[in-house]
Amino acid sequence: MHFEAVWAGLPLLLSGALKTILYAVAGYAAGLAFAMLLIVGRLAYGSAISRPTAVFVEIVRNTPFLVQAFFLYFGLAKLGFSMSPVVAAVIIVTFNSLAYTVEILRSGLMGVPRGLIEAGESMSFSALQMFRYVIARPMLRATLPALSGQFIIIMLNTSLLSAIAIPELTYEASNLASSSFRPFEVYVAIALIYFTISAAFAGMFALLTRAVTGDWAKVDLARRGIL
Amino acid sequence: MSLIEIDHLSKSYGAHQVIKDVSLSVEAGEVLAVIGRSGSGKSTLLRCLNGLEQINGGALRIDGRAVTYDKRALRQLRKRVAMVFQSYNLFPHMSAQDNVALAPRIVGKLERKASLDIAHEMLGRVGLSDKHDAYPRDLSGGQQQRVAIARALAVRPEILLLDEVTAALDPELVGEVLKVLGDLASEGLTMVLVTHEIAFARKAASRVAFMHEGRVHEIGPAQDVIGNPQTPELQRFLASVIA
Repeated sequence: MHFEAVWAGLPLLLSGALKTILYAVAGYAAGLAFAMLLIVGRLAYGSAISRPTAVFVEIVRNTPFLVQAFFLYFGLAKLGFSMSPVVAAVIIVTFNSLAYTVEILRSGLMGVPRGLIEAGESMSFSALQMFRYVIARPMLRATLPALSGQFIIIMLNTSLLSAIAIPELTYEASNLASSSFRPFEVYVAIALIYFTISAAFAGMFALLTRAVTGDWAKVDLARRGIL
Repeated sequence: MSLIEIDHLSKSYGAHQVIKDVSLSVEAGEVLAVIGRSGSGKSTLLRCLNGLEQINGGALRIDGRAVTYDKRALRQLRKRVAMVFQSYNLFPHMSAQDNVALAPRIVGKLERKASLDIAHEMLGRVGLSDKHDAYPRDLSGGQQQRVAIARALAVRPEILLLDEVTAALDPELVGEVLKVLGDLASEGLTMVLVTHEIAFARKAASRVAFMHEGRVHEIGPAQDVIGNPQTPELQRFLASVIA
């Protein structure tokens, strides 16, 4: 085992790791934000939103991430939208995250007691008010574990972006592996880096989950100006 | 003109007709108790009055204005017609005062301070001035239902609809809720309540309607309907609930 090449290439790997985190966090956050918009849209407009959403979800969930990446990267370029690799990466991750997170949120929405929604309806809350004051917290409380698992999956999936030459951790690693002729060492190193990133985010999500699912009284967001 | 006019109303779920050609009216300040077996359509009738269910036939007028289902009209309707549910439906992540203050704040567009003042006033009316900061899970069923009544009152409705509000309560907690309702009735609030509390209906309601298989079978002054039932259906029903 000769890890000199890995040490020499470490700055490169770390900058790749930062890009991986950037694509995952930005893309996932955007996907989740759009997913919440779709949930609000569903509350406001019913099947006019939920049906097309279901079609989109099925398409994304039944095609490989890599094929989606090819489709968006080369497909959009063909339509005249040329984009930098960073923008492309974030769009691809957003697209994929949206489908999975909207499905997770939908299941969480189903779990919100019907009576709470009716109470909101009987007081004529708008869809947005219903989401913000009635649904969001019980829904997030129920879905945070699934949302956190999905983030990890999507973060790991960004390694596939190396196949379309978007610079990220795996892309930098394969360059380093071929220039140093030390593929085994390099891939061991990035496996460790991916693992570390996963564990760190899993830990952060666990803290967040605890904050949201803890005693309603103890973690009273209402007291801090959300209500 | 009556405050609530129900005119040949019918309502179906698919092929199943739950309300069949019901007509009745409720005057301002009146308390109408609707009694009947489960599945007789009484809760559905109540939900129609608040627009939670859309009617299929006939007409429904509140203060002379026909109920329609576009968002704006529903919003106007629900400011005047508030509803309390059997299972309270309090928001579990909000304290009692925030539950009550929410509608005045986000629908009534009041400042937080003003909405909390209303919440405190309403919690006082239901005898819970010491529970402003309590969460629903820390309250008994009877207290939760009183918070729910305070929440419905917070928009200062003209009509209060109550859907079997004591049905989910332990027997020893029913009294505190009925007392609140009795107070509201004597203050002149118009109420329509679906209830199994026959004794309460007799005492607090100005009129009682007995529903059976989607129709209003008997309606009249509480004493008459309950004290002197005319139809065998009502006689059987009263015998089964009072026994």
